[in-house]
Amino acid sequence: MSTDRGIAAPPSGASARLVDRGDWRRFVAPAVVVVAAGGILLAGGLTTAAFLTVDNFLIIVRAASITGIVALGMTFVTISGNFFSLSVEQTAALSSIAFAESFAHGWGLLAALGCSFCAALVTGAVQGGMVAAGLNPIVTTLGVGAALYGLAAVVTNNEVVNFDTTPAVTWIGTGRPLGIPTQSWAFAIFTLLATLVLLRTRFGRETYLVGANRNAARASGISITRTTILAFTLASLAAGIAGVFTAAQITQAPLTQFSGLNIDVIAAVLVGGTALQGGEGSALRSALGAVFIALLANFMLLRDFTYGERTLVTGLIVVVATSAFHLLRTRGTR
Amino acid sequence: MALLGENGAGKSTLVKILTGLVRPDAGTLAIDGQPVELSTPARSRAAGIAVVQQELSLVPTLSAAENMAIGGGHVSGLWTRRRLVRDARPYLELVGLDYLDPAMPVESLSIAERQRVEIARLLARQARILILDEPTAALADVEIERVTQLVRALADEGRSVIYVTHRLDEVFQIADRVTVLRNGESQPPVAVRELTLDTLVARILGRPLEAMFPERNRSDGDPVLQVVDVLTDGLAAPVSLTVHAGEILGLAGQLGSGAPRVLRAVAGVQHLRAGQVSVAGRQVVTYPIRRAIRAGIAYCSDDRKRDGLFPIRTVTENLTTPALGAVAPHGVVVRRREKRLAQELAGFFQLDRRRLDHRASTLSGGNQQKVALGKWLGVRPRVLLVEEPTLGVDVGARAEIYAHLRTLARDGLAVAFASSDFAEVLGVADTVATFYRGRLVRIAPATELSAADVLRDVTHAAAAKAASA
Repeated sequence: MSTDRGIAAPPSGASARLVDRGDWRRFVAPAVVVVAAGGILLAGGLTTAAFLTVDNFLIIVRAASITGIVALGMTFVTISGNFFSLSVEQTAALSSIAFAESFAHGWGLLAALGCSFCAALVTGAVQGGMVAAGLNPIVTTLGVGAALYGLAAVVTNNEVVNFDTTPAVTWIGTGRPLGIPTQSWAFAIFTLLATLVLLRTRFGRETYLVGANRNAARASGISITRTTILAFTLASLAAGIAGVFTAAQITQAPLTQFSGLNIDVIAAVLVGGTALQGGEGSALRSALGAVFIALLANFMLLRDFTYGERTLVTGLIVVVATSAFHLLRTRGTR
Repeated sequence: MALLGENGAGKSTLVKILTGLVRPDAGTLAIDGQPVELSTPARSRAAGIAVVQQELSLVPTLSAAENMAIGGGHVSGLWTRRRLVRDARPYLELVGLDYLDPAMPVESLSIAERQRVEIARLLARQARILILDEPTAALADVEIERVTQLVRALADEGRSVIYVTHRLDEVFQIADRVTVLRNGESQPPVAVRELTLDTLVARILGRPLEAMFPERNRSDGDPVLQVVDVLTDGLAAPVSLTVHAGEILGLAGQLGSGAPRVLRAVAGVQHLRAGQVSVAGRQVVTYPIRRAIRAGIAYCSDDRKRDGLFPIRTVTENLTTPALGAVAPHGVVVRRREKRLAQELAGFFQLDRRRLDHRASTLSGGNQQKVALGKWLGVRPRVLLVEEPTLGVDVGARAEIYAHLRTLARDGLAVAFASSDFAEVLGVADTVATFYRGRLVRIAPATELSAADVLRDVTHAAAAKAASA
């Protein structure tokens, strides 16, 4: 009897306390996203002739993959309690420009890949280091993002960098092994990898713990600095990969190619239900969120929504998702 | 009236009903014989009920006077600084803070003073029924006395006070009647003079408590933790201590005594300014915390909410956090090992294994404390340092935690804990070190010290020195 003393059943009426009420919430977000995505598919198929065609589907899948790959990286930043990186859009642009410039200079594929990934890794690690040192993640990445954009503009003289493609680059950009675009293969593989890293590795666990309670993580001997730097580096690297895929696909690197990616990625992560305050969330859910955002964007494009209208909708989704999950969470604790 | 009960017995729920946060399923409430409806916090406030929560609701950057004006509901004219100060003063005097400048920001006050500002604020709202929810949980003994005196004075003035507490000695000092809650049911109220400590504990637990403190059986082992001439923030003079295998050292001191600082410096939570720390004869570097953990030093803080627990993660994850290296060799978490470790720790600390997958936030305070303490055994430490081991923990879980500390010491650990509860220090520790204002006053076997000795040491170091000389 004495073993149960501290955890004796609470009085009737309060028995709900024994049940972990956070559990069902975990499934609300993905369920909403799947239903909403289904809704868009239905609406798109019924109202828009061009929507349910093979060509359009490839476009959607590619777009979802690019947003999705970056969202996977961003998930680490969000789970680790550092909100978002607001420089992934600019990092992707910089990487694509590094890739294109390398080819324009006549270097090989490996050198080009090395350049773009190095650019991404360095910017990510630097931002992670700054945030780990105590700087505000939003302001830091906002500033670094602006600086990166400026740097890219200076390097390219504000011109679109074109380059002569090679068979390998063409395959990376437009290849379709088994009928599925390379971007989507990468997206699927990265989703699996990110899920495994988050759930099954020490780094993944530490990412959750740092986000759940930074002080407790430090007191348990977890390095906040290492976790933060790694999280931002992964987000940056994901942006770099997105940059390379896009540059390879269109064989050029315009400076503004990725405009709107930051907000799309944030929307994907939030719609997926990863907690804004960190400590909870999953890669799979961010991936679902990205698919939803891509479907929506494509539907709006085909329905001739203007750029302003599309941005308005995406912005509203971020606001609604944030408020909805905030309400779910606070209701749960009271 | 004092309201008592174990964690999870329903005290907080009752308080929530009275403040209008929770609707009662059945039953009626009456004030002065008149039935009242307390369906919202505003109605509850209008009925004259006010609560001092465990976590104070003052805004730290605002002054005491400004804090008292917030939510006061008597907004007319301008909130001039002078007017706020004038309005605040009589109530501050009422709670014994007449020396305080009402224009000072609240963050510059001690926790005990803030508590009294909060009470003054409720008095300013003409509260007739005051509910104090564990007002002394975060206070040292001397400050507790001030709070209890204030409570007594308020009751003598004709206000009703409902006092929720885990500290039973307070009950005898201040309460007229006691209502005990057990498993959500109230026991008939009793007058305090009809009770002894033992009968009170028996009422709370529903059975007699054999003994609060476990039997000492100190086996004189080798010295494990040696602290030589250590200086750190909050210490005024170097401190040297030795803890042997099998020994429990109790560091007694009030807030500001520096007792917990010694533990924090040894654990690498704060910088060691000077001195050496050795574990089993080998000198170790303890900063940052990782290195202290690797050296076999485990430290459980006094504030599990701040840095002891991951409330939104599962109990299992909480329990395996310090030992992640062992659970995840080569960086990959082995589920089987993780589960086994969590089961083992839960078994040792008598936590319900069925709740290992639940979030830590769903556990009661006592069980949360067991998790915050128990997780450290996963790293197989040689030294266990605990700060305020039973803060906000009910009587039953408290006795369990004492027993665990003793078992761990018996298994060869060197255990040291800092506490401002002197009964706890004298009852649990083999050796007692007393601290006053950043200085070590004396080290002596617990059996050779009386409660009066400890109290004298931690309040008047100079007098204690003179007496022992």
